[in-house]
Amino acid sequence: MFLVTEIIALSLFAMSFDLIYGFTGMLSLGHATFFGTGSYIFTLSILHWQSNLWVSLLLAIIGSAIIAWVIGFFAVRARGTNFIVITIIFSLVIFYLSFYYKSITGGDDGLPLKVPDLGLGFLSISIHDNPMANYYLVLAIVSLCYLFYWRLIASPMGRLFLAIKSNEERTQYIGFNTLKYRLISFVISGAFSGLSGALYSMTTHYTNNKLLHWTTSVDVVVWTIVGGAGTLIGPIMGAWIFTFFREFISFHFKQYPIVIGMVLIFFIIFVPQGILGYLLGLIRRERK
Amino acid sequence: MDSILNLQEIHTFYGKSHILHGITLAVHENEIVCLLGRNGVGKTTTLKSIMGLTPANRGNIFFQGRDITRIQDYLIPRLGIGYVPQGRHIFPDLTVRENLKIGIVGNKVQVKTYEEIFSYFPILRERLNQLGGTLSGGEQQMLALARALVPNPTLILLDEPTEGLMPRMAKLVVEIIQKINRTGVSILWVEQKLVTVTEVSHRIHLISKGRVEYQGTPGELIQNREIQLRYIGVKV
Amino acid sequence: MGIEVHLFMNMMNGLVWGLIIALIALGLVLIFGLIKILNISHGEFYMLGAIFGWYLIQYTQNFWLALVLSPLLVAAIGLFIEWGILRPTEDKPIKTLIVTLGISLILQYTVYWFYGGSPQRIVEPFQYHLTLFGSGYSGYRIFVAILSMAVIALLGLFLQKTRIGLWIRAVKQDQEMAIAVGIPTKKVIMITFALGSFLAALGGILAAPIFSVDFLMGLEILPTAFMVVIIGGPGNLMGALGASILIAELEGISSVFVSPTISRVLSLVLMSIVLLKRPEGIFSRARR
Repeated sequence: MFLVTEIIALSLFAMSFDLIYGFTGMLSLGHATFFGTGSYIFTLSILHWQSNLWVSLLLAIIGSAIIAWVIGFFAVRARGTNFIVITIIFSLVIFYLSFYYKSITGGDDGLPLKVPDLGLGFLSISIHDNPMANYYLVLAIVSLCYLFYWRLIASPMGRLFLAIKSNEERTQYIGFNTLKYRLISFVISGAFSGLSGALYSMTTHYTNNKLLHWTTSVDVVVWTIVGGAGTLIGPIMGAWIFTFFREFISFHFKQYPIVIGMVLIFFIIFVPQGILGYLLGLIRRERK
Repeated sequence: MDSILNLQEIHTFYGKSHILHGITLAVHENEIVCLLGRNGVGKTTTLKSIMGLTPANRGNIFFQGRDITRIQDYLIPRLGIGYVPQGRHIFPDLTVRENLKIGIVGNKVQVKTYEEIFSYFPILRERLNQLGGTLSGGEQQMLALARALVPNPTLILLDEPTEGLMPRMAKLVVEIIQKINRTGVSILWVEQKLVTVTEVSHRIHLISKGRVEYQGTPGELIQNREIQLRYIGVKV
Repeated sequence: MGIEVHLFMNMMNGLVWGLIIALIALGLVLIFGLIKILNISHGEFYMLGAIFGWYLIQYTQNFWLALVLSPLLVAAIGLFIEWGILRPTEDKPIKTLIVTLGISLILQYTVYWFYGGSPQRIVEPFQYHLTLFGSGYSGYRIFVAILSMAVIALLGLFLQKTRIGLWIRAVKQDQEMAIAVGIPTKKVIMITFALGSFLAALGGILAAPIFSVDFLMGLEILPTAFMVVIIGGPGNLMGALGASILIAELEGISSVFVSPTISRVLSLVLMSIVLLKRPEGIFSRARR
């Protein structure tokens, strides 16, 4: 049950990454920063301020949005490779910061967490000791976010994101401030990645700086590319496949990232549209 | 007359778009052959297909009787084909000397000495240690020609060599090209403006939409107003 | 120890470290300049240099042999990776970047498999200490600085004076024209990739006795190497050299007064400013 809830929380991370990579065409290799930030803000606000669950979730969203805005402010000014480099640099430096400030972050060991009860006005439900309640809460929030993304990509702004992906220069010529929209996309993605991190910590009852680490950034890239970028659902599929895969293989074969690296290279070279993109392509060809 | 270069039904695609729809043409020894046509009809692609930069998908290219269609791209210039591309493409951060030296590849080639090069392009003597990017447009064109000439080619491909030059400089470039041709080098010359090549070329091919639509001598073409209007428009 | 001595020591260390970074960054920039591909796995070549060095020293007890052999081995691996894995996607920089990400995972965890997760030490090959300002300074570090400078000078000579050097510069400036004058461009790229890997590996084995050797050391060097690329200007070799020393000295000198973490953040700030004010890098000439 925990694992399923965990993956649902990670699905939100996958979708959020897809918004900037699959829809706006920006490859961020530092997305763990937002995921980890959300998780830490959620945890720390509960530990230090005993804040209620809703407030903590909200703080996680706002906090990661601010970090995303700061990094995005620099990153969106760079194109192509430079954009990627900046996301890498910021995320690695922030990771090392989390190491140095062990007293706050708990470093490697992380921080354990007692999740406060869920307040619904008259009713108060325990989340910490009730996996089913936890499951439904996460499922409800992630479903709402999915609806939001779904509406967003169908909206004029979503089409603008796609336009930027296919040809930024031309989008600029017809009078749109593409920098602004790239930043908006980046901040939305960062904010929901943060929410995803918070939900993840709510489920696992702890946080540690691994969530900020490079490997977390790489994970979401792999899910998205293997699942199918630009489909929202594809990256979620990727998250399910790889999280289960890791859960079962990591006991027997600690070096499983070797396999992930190989799968990633295989897909980039031979199936660049990802599993879902490949299937959709097949269906489209059938119809013709 | 033997033909030195022979293109037979060349089809070239760029991505998914079909650019050349079966180009057939020949360049004979000591000849200046011109490919004339409007923008975007496939003139540059024809030259690039010969050089192997946009390889032909169908058809055959023969150079001195040898099929070079599927040869590795970098070996083609070594066979004795010089290429002077549109926009000159001088290496901007190499000196003039290095730009000249770079054409010397492979070991069998008998190369031209600097003195021989300077006899065609005296300006380059003073510019030898300057960076290619700092030369004027005309000087860059000289350098591009010189670079193609160093390895002693038997055929030179020219892509609008007088484009963007002042009239005096353009005239000088044309004279040098004729001088090179008189030493026995054949030339395939891509051009947009008929006037530039009427005096110098032996034969002219008109290209439209990736096909050769007409060929004849410059004299014949000048008589034929209808063909001129159809394929080169008002740019006469 | 007085503050002047401490400052002097840190400046010396900064110089040594800066020169090692320069070796790594020059390789990175050399490859980037040629094929516009940012090699995420470049740090792994640095790591492999140290790892192979460690193994060679275990078997032969000879540091000098390892110093020569290890970079050569890594160069061979680099050659194979460029030829066998990167070439099919080389005309699409972002795709190739993701492929190098996969390579990075594979190399890291293959090393982890055989070498294990715990760091090892290589002893300095000679114990000579110089006396500078009344306190001892490692002779080995002086040797590292001199050797690095010599290698960088040789690299400059190689690029300026040899035929392959001329070809590398020509391919960098205009790849299509390079083919059209008869340069075997693919081979030039392969050689450059091997050369870049060689330089990174040399940096790795030189750094090994100063720090320690573990399978994640490539990841640790990555943000610094990337900052060098941005501050020095992408594809600019002299810029990379200057930026390496600049960053190392900045972090070295400032760490006398503030914590190393803050000095890390300082270089991040420097990079961000460069990015906004001089996106071509601070050492770039004004271009046409």
